[in-house]
Amino acid sequence: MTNVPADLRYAKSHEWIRVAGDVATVGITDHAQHELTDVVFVELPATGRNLKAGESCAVVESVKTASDIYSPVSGTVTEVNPAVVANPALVNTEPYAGGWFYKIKLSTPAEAGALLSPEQYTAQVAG
Amino acid sequence: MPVLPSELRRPRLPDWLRTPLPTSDTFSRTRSLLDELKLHTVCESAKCPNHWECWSKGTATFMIAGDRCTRACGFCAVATAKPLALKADEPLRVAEAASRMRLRHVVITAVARDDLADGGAAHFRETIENVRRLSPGIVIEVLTPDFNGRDDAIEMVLAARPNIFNHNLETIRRLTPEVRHRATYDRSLSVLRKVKERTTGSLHTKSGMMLGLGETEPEVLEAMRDLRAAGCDILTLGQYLQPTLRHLPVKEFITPGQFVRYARAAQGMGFIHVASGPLVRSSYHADEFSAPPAA
Repeated sequence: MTNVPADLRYAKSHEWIRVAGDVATVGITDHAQHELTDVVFVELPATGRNLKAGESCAVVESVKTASDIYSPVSGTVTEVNPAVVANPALVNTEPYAGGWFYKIKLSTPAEAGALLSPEQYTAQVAG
Repeated sequence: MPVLPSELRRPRLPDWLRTPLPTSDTFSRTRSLLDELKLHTVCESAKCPNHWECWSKGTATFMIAGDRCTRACGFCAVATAKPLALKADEPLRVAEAASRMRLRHVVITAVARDDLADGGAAHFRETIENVRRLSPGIVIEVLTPDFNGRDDAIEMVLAARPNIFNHNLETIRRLTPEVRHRATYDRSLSVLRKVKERTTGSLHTKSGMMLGLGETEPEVLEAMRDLRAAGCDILTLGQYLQPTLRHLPVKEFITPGQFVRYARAAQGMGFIHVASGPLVRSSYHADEFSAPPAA
């Protein structure tokens, strides 16, 4: 059974966010890392970059596939995770913890509410 | 600046090889159905990059005779291990899946079963017969191992009258010994030739190669000519991708433009259908060439 933490919001395209005040941390879900299999490379956006919700902002690469990652929310990238760049396997082992991608200062906080709830995301991936 | 561990220093995939993560309900439903019927797919076992796209469209390539292969080809992620006994109900489960997925064109492949006297040919035949029984009119494409070139095994599969017989050449002559395991270039051509000789136009033959293993353009064109001389009708060409770090490395990423040039050359040689592109695989969009069912 895939892990879908109750305190996060989810995009249909398999990104998650954790909101603290007006900053969100972004990563990809356990379901996504499972589909990708072993991640060997993560390319992250530059800090300071402005993103719109739905804009492609990162790339996750496994041996046979490279997939674009889309920012679930709009805002400015404040921090990226150097640990996941150095050790891409964290995406597989800790998708919700050490495998986080970037933090973003929200320009439109209401967007977070429009994302999928844990129940809705679980329904999407359960089939 | 953090330093990547050495085993991760491999070339980045070019941006024409991006595939989006699957988001459709159809993907999840296809996965559930395959899990329910306990079916193997080459999609998952070989880590196909098109896996999400095809399952999201409700299609999959079934892999019969287990997921343990008796060979160890350097390009393939399917496990090499002592196989388990054939499951007698597998042909019916494949047929049920094809029926519930409402497939009009089904591709059935198998691992090599050198441990079996018939190489798995009877199991292929039963699968074809069951699929046709539950889905009359369906176009059946088989992607077979070489059966060690044995006529009786090939004839057993042909007796079930598949519509398209695919056996992959995989690579050019020079690279075959290092890329494939136990299979030979000439035996694969011979399998295709024998199939053509034994069928009277009611069946199309198909073959494919992975590019980017170090072949030169003249060598690829020569292999294409060899396939045409063996009567091969349909050709697929795709980019070799390294399934795990223990498999053959990618020597070159062939550009989309070069794939187009190869396709044009193939059409000039008389292949009736060519699929040529970085993500093309033997059964990718196989239903784009769907022959009428055998009489």
